Amino acid sequence: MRNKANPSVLFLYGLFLTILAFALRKIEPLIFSALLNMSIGLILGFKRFRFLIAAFLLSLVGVAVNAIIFAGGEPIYQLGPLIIRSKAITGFIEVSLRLALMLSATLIFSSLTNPRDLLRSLESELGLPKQVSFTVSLSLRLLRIFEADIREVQAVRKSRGLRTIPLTPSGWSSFLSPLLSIGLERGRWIGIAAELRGFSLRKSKKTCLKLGLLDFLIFTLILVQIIVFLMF
Amino acid sequence: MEKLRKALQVDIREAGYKLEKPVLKDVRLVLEEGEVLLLLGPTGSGKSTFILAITGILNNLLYGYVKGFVRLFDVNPLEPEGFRRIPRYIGVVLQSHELQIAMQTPLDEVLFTLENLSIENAFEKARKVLEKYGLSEKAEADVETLSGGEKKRLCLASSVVHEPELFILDEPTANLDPWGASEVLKYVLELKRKGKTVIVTEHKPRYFLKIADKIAVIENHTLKLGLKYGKELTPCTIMRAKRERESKIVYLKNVKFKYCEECPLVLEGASMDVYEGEIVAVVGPNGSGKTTLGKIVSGLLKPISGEVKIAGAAPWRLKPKELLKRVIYVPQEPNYFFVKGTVEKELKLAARYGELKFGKLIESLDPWILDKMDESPYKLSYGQKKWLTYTLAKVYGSRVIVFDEPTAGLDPVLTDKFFTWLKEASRDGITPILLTHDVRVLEYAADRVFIIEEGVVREIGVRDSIKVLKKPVEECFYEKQS
Repeated sequence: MRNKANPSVLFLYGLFLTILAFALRKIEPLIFSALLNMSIGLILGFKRFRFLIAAFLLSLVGVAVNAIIFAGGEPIYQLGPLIIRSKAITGFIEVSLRLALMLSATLIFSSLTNPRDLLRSLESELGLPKQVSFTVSLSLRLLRIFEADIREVQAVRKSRGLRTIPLTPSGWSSFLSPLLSIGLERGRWIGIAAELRGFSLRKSKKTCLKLGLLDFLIFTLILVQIIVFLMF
Repeated sequence: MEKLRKALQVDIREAGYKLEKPVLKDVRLVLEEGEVLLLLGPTGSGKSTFILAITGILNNLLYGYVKGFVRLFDVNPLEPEGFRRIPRYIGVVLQSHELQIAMQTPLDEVLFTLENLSIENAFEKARKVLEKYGLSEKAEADVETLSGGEKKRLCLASSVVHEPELFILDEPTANLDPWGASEVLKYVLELKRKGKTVIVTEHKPRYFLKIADKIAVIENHTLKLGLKYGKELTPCTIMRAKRERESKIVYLKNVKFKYCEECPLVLEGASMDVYEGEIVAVVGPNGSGKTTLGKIVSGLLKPISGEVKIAGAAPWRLKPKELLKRVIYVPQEPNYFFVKGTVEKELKLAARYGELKFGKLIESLDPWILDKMDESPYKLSYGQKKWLTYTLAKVYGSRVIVFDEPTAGLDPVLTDKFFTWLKEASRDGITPILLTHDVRVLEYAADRVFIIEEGVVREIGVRDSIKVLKKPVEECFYEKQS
């Protein structure tokens, strides 16, 4: 029996969590799923994907500002001209939980598989087109390089007298531009290199989904979360 | 006598990315099986476009166009069906390994090629080729833990594993130290001995001149065979700015550094003094700690122990503006350096920090920069991007400029221009520190050289350093002859 999780099962689980993040309307199952998966995600990926967690925490600032400005409801606290309304609190919690669920999907998925296993599994076991499978598997590889890019951009920003973590929209634009430019160039050339190495000739044999103990555990997690969803 | 097959036949009337804007015109070339072609040309002249055109990438994948005739053995890569067959005949190594490696471990990377081409006994073949390229012990390591030389070897391994007939190597020695370059050279020699056809594009032709059967230059959109290219650089072209050693600007004593608690020491007691206006080179193999040293000098990394002073102050104790007045770091990859949407905004930002009037600054800029003021810096050619980073670094007015691999990817003409630029900057009192393994920097620019070996920094004579960097490649030819 396999002692690794099947990449296709992990992919399906990631997809399931992403759908949950968008579809759950009630707060209780959302809290349950977010806490459960965030705990698993942090255990598996805290060390390797700290930059993703940092990005998540930064995005919460944006969520909070958005909630304070746009949410309605009864005023519950006033700080000078700033009025915090009841729906700002619930709105902030709800959106944060949805983002946490998506982050945990990324952490679990990225920590337990590698690009080649994922490519083979998505092609042969799930029958996805090779172009889609390659794109998904490549994102795993690029995610890890992305952290090094961020560090280099921060080093240069510091050297040019700018904040390493920008505070303004234009600062963020200048922070993200090199990352996007390098990412696009990398994606383009990896695609060309893959074509020159015969990617268009690649053939996959259809095989059955091979499941191990960890896969059954993942299916149990899906089942538990569906039951919690139905309970509320 | 057996007649040799033609490996490559090219008769391109026009090729480019947009109609009416051809990058290549009237390009004719025939390469017999077993020949080595050395392809030269200035940065942005169209060498990469030539490779993309003859492999069919340009018109089949990049929405460009190729008018004319191309045959790789008996395959027409310009037709979609021929393009699909091309990977069985060719192995390609791109200039940057970052832009080629698609998988997470060396074993997976090599298997990716074999699985794409449905080659049997893939696992066994992959293990064998990794062993040959000295990567068997790291077969299942994360590729990000490999050194630059190891990554380049991995790219070579994954492009030769299916035993193609034609190899295309795009600047294979770029970013490699002389030891890594000599390894590449050995592999090319082996391919030549096996009767394989090889196309090498290079900015450092000296590595391949002795083994090339044909030399071609792409210049002014067209390809010319058998020409010399670029003017020869001589030490006379660069007057070295010798200075009275009075004002010490960079001072490092017994600096130790590691990236994490459990990581090994990268620097184990580095000491160096640099005087104002000197042009200093720091050399050492890939992964020896040159970039780390440069970042410590630039105040971007803090050592775990030891003393660092830039113009009399510890860099990490300085406020950002004060630090910038003393030192600026220019990374190897120019895209990292840009923070604004247009060239003009980049210059205005630098001028503001450098306390220069923008109107005055404009008068001293290269004419091509003035033409590109409204363009995004990311859309410039590689050579232009590099040049813009040097211009910006100077505009900031920092007393020390740390350049990481400044000549990587620059053609000989731009490299020569850069050396002149260094001399002028040095005369203006700027202290350039060049982290490099390009022997030309030592020959034509550096006043003093430091070498990093096993975490220790020591000063080495300029002549000795040139010998150290030339030795691996010379030994390679010596082995061949013996």
